[in-house]
Amino acid sequence: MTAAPPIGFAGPDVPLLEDVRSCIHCGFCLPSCPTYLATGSELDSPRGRLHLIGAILDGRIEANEHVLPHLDLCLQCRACETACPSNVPFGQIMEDARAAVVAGPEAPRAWSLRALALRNVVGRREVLRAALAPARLATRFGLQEKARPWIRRAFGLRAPMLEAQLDALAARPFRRSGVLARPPEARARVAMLTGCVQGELTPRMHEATLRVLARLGCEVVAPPAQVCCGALHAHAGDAETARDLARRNIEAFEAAAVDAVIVNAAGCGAAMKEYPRLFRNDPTWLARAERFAATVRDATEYVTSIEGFDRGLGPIDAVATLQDSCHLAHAQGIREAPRRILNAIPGLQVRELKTPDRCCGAAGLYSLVQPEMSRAVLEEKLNDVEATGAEVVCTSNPGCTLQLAGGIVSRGLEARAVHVLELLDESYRARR
Amino acid sequence: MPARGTLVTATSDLEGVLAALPRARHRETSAYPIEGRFPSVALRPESPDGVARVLAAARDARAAVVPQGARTALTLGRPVSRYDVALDTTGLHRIVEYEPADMTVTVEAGVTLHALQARLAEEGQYLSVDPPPGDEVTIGGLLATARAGAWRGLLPGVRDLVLGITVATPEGTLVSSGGRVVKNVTGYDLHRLHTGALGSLGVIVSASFKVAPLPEATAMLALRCPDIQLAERAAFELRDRRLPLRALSLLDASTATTVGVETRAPATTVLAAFEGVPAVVARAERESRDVARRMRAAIEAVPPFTWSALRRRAALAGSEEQTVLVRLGVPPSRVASTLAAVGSGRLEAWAHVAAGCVYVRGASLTAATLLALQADAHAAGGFLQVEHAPAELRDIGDAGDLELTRTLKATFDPEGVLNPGRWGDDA
Amino acid sequence: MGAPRTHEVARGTLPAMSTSQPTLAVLVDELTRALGKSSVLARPEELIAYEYDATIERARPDIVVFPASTDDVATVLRLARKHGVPVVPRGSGTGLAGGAVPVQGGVLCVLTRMNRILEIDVRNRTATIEPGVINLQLQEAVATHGLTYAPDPSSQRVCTIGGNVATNAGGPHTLVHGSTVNHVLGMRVVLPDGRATFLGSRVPDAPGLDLRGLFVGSEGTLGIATEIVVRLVPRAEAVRTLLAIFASIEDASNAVTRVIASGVIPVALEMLDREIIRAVQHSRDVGYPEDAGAVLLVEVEGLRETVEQQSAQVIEALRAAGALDLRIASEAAERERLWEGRKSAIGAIGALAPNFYLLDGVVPRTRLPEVMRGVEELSARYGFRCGNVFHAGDGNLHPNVMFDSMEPGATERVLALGAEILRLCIEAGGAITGEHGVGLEKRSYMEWMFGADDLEAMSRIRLAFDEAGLFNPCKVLPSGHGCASAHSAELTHHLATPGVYV
Repeated sequence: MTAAPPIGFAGPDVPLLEDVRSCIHCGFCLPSCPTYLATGSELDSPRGRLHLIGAILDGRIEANEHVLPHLDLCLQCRACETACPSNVPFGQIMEDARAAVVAGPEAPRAWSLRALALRNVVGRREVLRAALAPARLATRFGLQEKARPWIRRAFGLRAPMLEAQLDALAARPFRRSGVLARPPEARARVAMLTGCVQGELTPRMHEATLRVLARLGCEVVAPPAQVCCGALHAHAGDAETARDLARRNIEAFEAAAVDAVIVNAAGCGAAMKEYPRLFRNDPTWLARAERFAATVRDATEYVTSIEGFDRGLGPIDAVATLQDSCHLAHAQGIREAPRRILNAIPGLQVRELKTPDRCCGAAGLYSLVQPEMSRAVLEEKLNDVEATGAEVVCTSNPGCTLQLAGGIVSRGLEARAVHVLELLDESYRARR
Repeated sequence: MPARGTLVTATSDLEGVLAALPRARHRETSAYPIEGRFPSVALRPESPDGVARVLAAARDARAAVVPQGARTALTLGRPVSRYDVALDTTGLHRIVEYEPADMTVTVEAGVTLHALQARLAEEGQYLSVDPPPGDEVTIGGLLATARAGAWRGLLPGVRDLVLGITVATPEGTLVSSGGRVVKNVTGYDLHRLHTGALGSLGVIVSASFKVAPLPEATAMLALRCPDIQLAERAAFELRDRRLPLRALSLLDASTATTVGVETRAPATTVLAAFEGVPAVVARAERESRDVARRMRAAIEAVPPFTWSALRRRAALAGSEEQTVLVRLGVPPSRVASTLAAVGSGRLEAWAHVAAGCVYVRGASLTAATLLALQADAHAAGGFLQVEHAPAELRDIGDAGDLELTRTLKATFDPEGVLNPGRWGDDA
Repeated sequence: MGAPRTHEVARGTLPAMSTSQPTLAVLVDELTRALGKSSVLARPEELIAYEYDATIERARPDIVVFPASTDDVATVLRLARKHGVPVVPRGSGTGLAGGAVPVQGGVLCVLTRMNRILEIDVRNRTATIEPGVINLQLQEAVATHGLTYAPDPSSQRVCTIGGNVATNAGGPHTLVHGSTVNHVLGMRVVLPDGRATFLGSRVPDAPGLDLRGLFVGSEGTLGIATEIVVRLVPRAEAVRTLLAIFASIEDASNAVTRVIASGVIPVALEMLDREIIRAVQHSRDVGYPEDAGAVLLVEVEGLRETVEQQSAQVIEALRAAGALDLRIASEAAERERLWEGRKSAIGAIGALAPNFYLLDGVVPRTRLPEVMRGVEELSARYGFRCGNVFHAGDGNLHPNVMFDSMEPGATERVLALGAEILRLCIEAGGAITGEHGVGLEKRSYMEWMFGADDLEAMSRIRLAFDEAGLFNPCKVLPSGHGCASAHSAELTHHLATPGVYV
């Protein structure tokens, strides 16, 4: 291509013209987009965003302060991909666009800062743990209860997520690595992604996943060299860090020589299954990434592939509902697996949400970066949850669980938010 | 505002112009009275072109033309302010094109509904309309008045069935819109604008319609209910059972008696007609009996005559000049209360439930009564149309947005050639 | 400040109305004061997201407004009129004829925020809604009452009822139920001069000129509907879907005629040809044999007894017409499976070729076999693959011509092929659009169907509603008929932006 250099896009990850062109402007994505539903504006719709990106590529507009907020408001939930009849790779295009903005000399300060923070905190376990340490210590003394009113005053719309995170810190973190379980006559050897924040904020999810896998006869390992999956970095436009983390994970999991890499965070699973996208300009790593991606399995996907997972379950007497985590339903195309698990639990009454596959507003860092829209999307979700009368809200992703837990507290609902595998684990244990 | 034509006073001038028309056969003017007036000329052209030429000539002569077919609805709208030429459309009597497999038919305006239905019936098809007073109406009149009967609301009306038309304009041209395919959104739907326009914007010379297969079986029942409340309940229950209704009407005692269902007030009759495959009609009859039992109603089959008699009540013969007939449109839920408000004194009242259409008829209807009925209809989001009444009551009826109507009238007929005054446009 | 470099490119050879910058600035000011800041867009970067609908046409508005009420709409129209600025209404922007593309700039009046269902009247079987309500939302809202809103265009998940009113939208189930015009009883509308009025009534057959019937299908050129009263119909007691497989499209076309001749009018009668079958099977297995020449979907509904008898009649007709295989479903889930292929067809083609051009001709049902043959021959002559998925029951063809707009000259050739196919439809006694509308795309073809006198009559209607010629200019009628500035330029399809048709 010999077009003039696009204004505002730079670096190796500039969105591909053929990707953008695959949009036929039919508009079928509009009603699937939470931000379009909230604003009714084409600018905040997938079609509009693609058109803006296309116009930046064509050099018709600049990636300036009037355009970027509309790209930034995108949740990257990828519900539009499910709705799209032409298979437009929207998630890829949006990640590329953000990367191409961050790589430019005039990247907005907030975008660069966000990338920097992600790179140095989330991307590095020790820093993350250290950053959380004071808050964790505070929870030992039950200070989170005292802090609640202050958090609500100081953080406003962001409060539910922060409170949920603080509450989560009261539990003991999951920081194990190496061989985690070795049942006799293991049917398979699998690795678990322990991730970045999961072990710190949602340790019970890991514990439950580990117990379930072990119970189903899997040898479970957690390679110590593994790192954060890089999803948040890719979403925020820091493609370089995402690639760096991807390479380290590919190496770490290759070395573990496992049958499958099990991921219980849908966002991480989607990112890892899509590692090849990061290496489109790097044939060597592309091939390795493709081999690796083929071994990645969502935890619900893997569990339901094991014959007999639905045997030996004890009753759970409750009304439950399922929030399809976006990156499980839309990015990985998995909808049946979590439902099969819930439907297998005796006594559990499963009531579907009206729009189970609409985002809850968590979307990685979104709840902190775009508190208004995140809260608006969350409120819709809570209305939907409330109408089901559910006592247990199940998800397949830690971010969604925390977001919903925060929302449940702020609305005063009698419910709890858990990962599907936590409920499966409870059910297995209820049998004993 | 464009200049209007002046009234033709010298009859001979007009005749001079019109006599030059080759194929428009002149008729006796005495056969074309309208509310006591006679035209200077009566013409019966035999082709669409002929109609166009009459209109052009009339415009040149500044004459007012009143197109007419079976002459059954000439009191609709306000009285015409001028009447020089009677344009008899019955000379346009050809069925132009009929393709049974396409289920479409194109006919000229002067064809009677009776003739059309007879032709369609040969192929097991029909046009699903039942306008008053009966099948003697012409297709042109059917469209120009858009009058409907008991089937409306359950079956599509004429405005839903017309696919395209050709009209002759006061400029002497022939203008077409739509087409003869069943689904078509090409251009403005002039055929819908002319449907119900009372011949005020052009003279319909031919039209294409979507037709339907004749039902395999029909059943017609009368449920004589003890009072109007039970009759209303019976009617809605029949409707809500999703039975294949083709008509669902409520008749007060005097109307019922007139059409051959002997009753005395306060009894109210539900007339229901069903159509469809035999098994379904049989089921409808069964379920109707069940409804009748629960509403303490006597149920009986009625002959087709009952329906045709009811259609006749919605029109007036020439000898009934002083009788007033109005049509109210109200939501179906207000039909029974409207009937009750009319009372069953010296008036007749009946209603077609699905279309929310209530007819009230009687010599004793006064302006005050009409205004009260109209106010109630308006409050319910409906309307009142005066179908027949002495001239002084005709201003009461609704006629939609008169500002737009008069603008359109001035646009299509600036000289006021066609039916001047129907919309109060020739003041 | 990011000044776009190609501000006027999108206007192509249509006359640019170019409202002066000072006038626009004053208008933006007045609109902002009247509607609030969050309801007015005027920055070039923002306007660019409103320069398209679902066609290839592009033209940028000068101002975008989001009215929230009838009063807001009236204010917008009055202010725009005062300054002599064109106004174009827009819903979800899913139109397939360029009707919502502001070819002369001006104010784009976006109605997506007027999306309330104001009333569902179960007893009277009506609903009153604002124009921005999504078609499917209305269907879902009334479904709980055992009712349905019958028109179901393929874009029903997205398209607004206001847009449906503008285009007189149809759908697979219009064969029995009719198009939008048969379902709209009355409307509050704001006329181009800002005056609000009510057309029609809450019941059928209101006296006076049928301005309701004229307004529905006028493609947003006569005013803006701000409140719409629609008729609802009861959901059928029973529905049965039949899928028949044929060796050739001709056999399937003949089957269509046979079914209708059997005295049954199905609620839907849809056809997919070989190209589409392969495309669908390619994207996901819906159980169509890949060597089939055509698939026919037939749906009958009504009381159980009706469905029993009519499906027997349909089966007999299909067998007699040479159906190779028949599948029958009565349960919702099974029926959904049979429909799956039909519903995913357009998307499946999208994956086969970079671009496709979707046509919308109509022919009398009996002429289907020969016209289908003609479409095939023409496509072959032009060297394009063409798939057909369409409403066979009412003769509404939807040829999808696949192409790549990056290939030099391809778009022009596709448009030429499209024009020839539409001519074929007219010669067969049909029309150039059955449900998508004329809009910008087909207005130069209007002269093929209508004579000068016919078009003159239509442009008089336009003038009666919009004397200034500023309301959605240059749509429906060919050049010289109701376009604001007199001009003779033909519509050309520019390729300034990636061009794609659906």
